[in-house]
Amino acid sequence: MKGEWLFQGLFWAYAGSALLYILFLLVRDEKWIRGGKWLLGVGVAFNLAYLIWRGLAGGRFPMSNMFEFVVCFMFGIAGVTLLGEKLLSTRIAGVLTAPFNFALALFAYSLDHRIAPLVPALRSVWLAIHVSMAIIAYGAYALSCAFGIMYMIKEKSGDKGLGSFIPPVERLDVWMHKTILTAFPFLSLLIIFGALWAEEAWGRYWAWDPKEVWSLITWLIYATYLHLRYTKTGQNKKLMASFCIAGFVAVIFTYLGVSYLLTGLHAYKD
Amino acid sequence: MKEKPDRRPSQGIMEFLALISSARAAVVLMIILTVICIVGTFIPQEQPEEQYLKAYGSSLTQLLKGTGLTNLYHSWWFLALLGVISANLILSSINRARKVLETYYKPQVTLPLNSSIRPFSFLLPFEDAQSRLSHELRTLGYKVLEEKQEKECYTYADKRRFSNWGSSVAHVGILLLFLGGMYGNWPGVGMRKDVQILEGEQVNVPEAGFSLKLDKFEARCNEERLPLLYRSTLSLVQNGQEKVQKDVEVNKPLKYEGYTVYQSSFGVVGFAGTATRAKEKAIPYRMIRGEDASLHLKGGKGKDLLIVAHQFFPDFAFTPQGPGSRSDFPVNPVAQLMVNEDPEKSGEEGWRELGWLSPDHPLRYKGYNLTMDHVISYTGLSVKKDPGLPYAIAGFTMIMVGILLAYMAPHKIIRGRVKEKGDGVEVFLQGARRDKAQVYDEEIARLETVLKEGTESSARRKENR
Repeated sequence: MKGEWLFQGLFWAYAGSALLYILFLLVRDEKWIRGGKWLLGVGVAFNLAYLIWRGLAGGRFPMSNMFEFVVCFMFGIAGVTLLGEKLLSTRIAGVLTAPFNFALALFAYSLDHRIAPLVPALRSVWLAIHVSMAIIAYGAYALSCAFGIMYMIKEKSGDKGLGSFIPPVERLDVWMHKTILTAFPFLSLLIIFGALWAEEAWGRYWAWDPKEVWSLITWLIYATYLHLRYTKTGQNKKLMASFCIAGFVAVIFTYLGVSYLLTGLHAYKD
Repeated sequence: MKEKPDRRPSQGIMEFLALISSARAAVVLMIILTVICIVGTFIPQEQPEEQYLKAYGSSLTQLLKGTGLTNLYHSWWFLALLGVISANLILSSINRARKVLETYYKPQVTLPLNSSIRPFSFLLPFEDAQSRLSHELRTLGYKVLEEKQEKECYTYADKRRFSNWGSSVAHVGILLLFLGGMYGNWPGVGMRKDVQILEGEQVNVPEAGFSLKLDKFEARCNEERLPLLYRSTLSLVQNGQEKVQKDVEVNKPLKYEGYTVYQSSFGVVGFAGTATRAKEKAIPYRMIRGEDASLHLKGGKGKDLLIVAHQFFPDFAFTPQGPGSRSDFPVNPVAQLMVNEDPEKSGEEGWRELGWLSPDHPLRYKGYNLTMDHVISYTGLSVKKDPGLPYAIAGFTMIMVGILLAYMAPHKIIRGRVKEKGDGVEVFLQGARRDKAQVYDEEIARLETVLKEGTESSARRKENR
């Protein structure tokens, strides 16, 4: 297909980016971070172009099946990583999100790339709204998870080894909070728009379908995080960091696990 | 020794209310709800009993069914949990609203500041420092309250007080959503009914007080049998009058007087055709699965011939198990016709295969030309009425508005204390937000700069003098 070279572009850019970040982890020289970030940016550009091409070629939103959801997810993670690094003035976030993004790219490579028409259930303007919210929310949660993992590393190794490249735990705590705070309204909108759409398509805004329940579980984990900050327990920053990690595990399960391991109305994996 | 005060019964109640309205209780309740939800996605819900027996065996099935784990989201204890959560939401909203009102009417200006805060020292006259501080806070958009005491002044500055209503608004939204869901599912209030209508037929929906007539049904797929379209051309008939006509598709339901009609399933159940013989009137016939449909023809010597469709495939294909259907779409309809030439022999021996019939391949038999003209489909529709829906939508809206209020533009408070010390002042500044987020560094740094500039200009003034 004509535009597939764009997918090749994003795949190899993300591969290179992940490689440079991993190289940084091995040799601990910050110049590799710069290269990794640059390639991540190239990947995002290819990713966006590829999504636009697929949308135009298919005459619909490029959000019809698992392959396209993964391509959207990659765009969200890489885009939010770059944006987050700019807003928080750091360069460290990509070290974890870029290799994860490459893992997604590998997964995407294994899926069917053909441009399929939209099944009737997905033919709605809600699709674009619903999935856009997911791109932003899931991207931001990937970032908060990366900060959560860095928190664990920093707490263990202090200023030695890898820890010397990681900002102090207090700052990581603030970043985790900021990213979760930013993503929470989008996650809420994602679920609410999904419910309104389900009402329009199936006549049920909430049917306790596994995908719906897992989205609620994700929401509850982050809502718990936000409420914990009002309590004494919330001062335990390590606990809060583990919430960031658990939350993103739930995101991935909602997004992939439910489609492959559980069945329900919402399994658009083929 | 201090005497213990009498414990009045109301005190116990108040303590209990305080306990279940706390953020800590909210956290515990949300964790419980999370765990239950996870369990509910791993135990299949509302399946037929045989499936549980197959998966779990009889004793475990009995346990799961008895405890409600197979219909968890509708079990009494799940509803009870939602009840406790509602109590938590109501009480915490009241508590919160009271505290929010205090920020309007009773702001605590002289609250002691955090002891860990290190003061900034400036060589500035006390009055000058205080006025510069409040002026800069106002420039930053804060409302400033001051309380002057001997040689020191407390400052309470805040902005975006309205944001504090966010959590109450979101919590009331969740309650409204619960209520809307309960109201819509309350017996006798809402309704939901699945109906199946054959093309050309009309089905009465007594619960809704109208009938639905299916004028035409269309189901299309692509070559890989990926569904492209399900469309029912419906007429809604009430009191013998046609009220609405609409093409109902997935994502395009029909709405009429509080009722909504959704496209939900379909099936191809048979076909219609004609039998023609030279110089005779054409005989139209239909063969529909599950109906006792047959075609009666006249053979030689006036003998009765009985023809039925033994098998019918909407999307015929050869499979390893023999003839079958590749999909449910009417892509390649084929029927196997059987004939009984001696109706007295009603058993199996009376029947023999007549042949395979499809739109492109009519069958010839005893001078008759048998054709398949078109397939007959049914549409599966859901008719629904949910008077709770507007409340649920209002709930969704409030949740969203509340979250945006609370998190996008949070209430900010800066507390200050300016204390005279020697020739200059000591200034304590503390940013405070309920969730302990440290977002004030920039603003506090700016206040420090302003006071520093003040010190410099006052030093210059002294020099000039």
